Amino acid sequence: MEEKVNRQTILRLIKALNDEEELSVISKIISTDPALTAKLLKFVNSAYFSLKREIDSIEDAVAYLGYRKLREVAFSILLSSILVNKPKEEILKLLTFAYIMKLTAQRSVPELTEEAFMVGILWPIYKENKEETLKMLKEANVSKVVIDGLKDPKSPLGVLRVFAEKLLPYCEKLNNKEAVEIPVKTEKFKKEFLINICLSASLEAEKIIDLL
Amino acid sequence: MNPEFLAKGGSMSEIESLELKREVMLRLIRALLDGEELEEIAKIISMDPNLSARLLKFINSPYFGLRREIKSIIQAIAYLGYRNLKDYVFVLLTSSFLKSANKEEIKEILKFAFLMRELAKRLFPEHEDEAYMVGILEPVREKVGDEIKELLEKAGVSETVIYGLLDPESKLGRLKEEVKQLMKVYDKLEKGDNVQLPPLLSQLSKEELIESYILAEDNAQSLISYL
Repeated sequence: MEEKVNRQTILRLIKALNDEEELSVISKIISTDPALTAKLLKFVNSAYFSLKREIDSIEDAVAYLGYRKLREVAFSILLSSILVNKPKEEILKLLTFAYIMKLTAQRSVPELTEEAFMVGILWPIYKENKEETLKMLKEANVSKVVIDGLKDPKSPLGVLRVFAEKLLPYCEKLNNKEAVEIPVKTEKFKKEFLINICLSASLEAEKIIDLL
Repeated sequence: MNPEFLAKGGSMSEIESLELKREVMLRLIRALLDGEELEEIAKIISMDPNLSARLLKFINSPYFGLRREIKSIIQAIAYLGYRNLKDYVFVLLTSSFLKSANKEEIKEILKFAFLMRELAKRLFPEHEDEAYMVGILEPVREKVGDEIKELLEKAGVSETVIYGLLDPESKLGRLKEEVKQLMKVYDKLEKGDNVQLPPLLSQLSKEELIESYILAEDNAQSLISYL
């Protein structure tokens, strides 16, 4: 059986990435957890990247991915470590939701794209245990705009979250090749954009699910 | 920022106009494609102080909105990641061939490359990155002709990209020609006029084509200001 990633290590890693710490610091944090180290090396050496040579050092793996992609991966691992008993399909659905947030933000609030993904990933965890999640996020130095996105539906990312929640069921039907009329009407987004979001979010989620 | 350069009184605009060493860019692309070790990548970049300065300027631009300044090449590579760095170096390489091109022209090239990537994502997802390379390098091919083959072989670029540039019947070659056609008829397509689409693109819905075009335009627009 695969060894579990230590949640504290993931939180420390997210904090270090948020603080834009030096590569040596990031690599050191990852190296303290053999399960996390193994997951990351497996990920960068997977067919997804089809590298010509094997990457066998953590520093090289971090540099290969870059901080933004690594943070996305770290949040996804955090999600699966917390919702450990949920079936794969459920995790895939939650990841799709996070990518809907990210891709929608890219168009509507591009400066908050990464934060939107974080809100998407954290939302199911927050719903299950609000106080503990907030405490955890404070420890990980997660920005106020993300916390507001979880707590306040009227905040910029809160508005997007509510929107993504309405869109998700239609995306699921669309991805199952069911003919649906997307009913979400906003001035900001055209129907074709939303269809594209649904399809792209599902593709992105599928790419990352095997890592978890 | 390259401290030596600034100590000599160099300014940001001077950095932009500095000549980049094409050989170094080609070696760098090869190393990134091969997934070479970080230290090796940093060593190659450091062979050209102008490239180092450009990279540090780019990474510290508002495009990334960093909380603190990145001063080392190693840190800049790690923050960007190999894929983004490769995309960036390809833009620099193409710009080095098109010295007289203005920002608007470079933006059009970027739009074309991003559109290639967006459409390949739907048609040939396994060649998404290579489609971007074909798009960004096409103006270089138009300028230097078949000589581009030697250049790209030196950079270790895959045959899929080389054929995509030189053979209109290859997978990416066909996509490239069709994307050129799409760019010409896009306005009509957006207006809802009846447009005859070429075979590959007709596999996609009108909505997908419009959306891909808008995304490509947005990406090009946001990147161009910080190059």
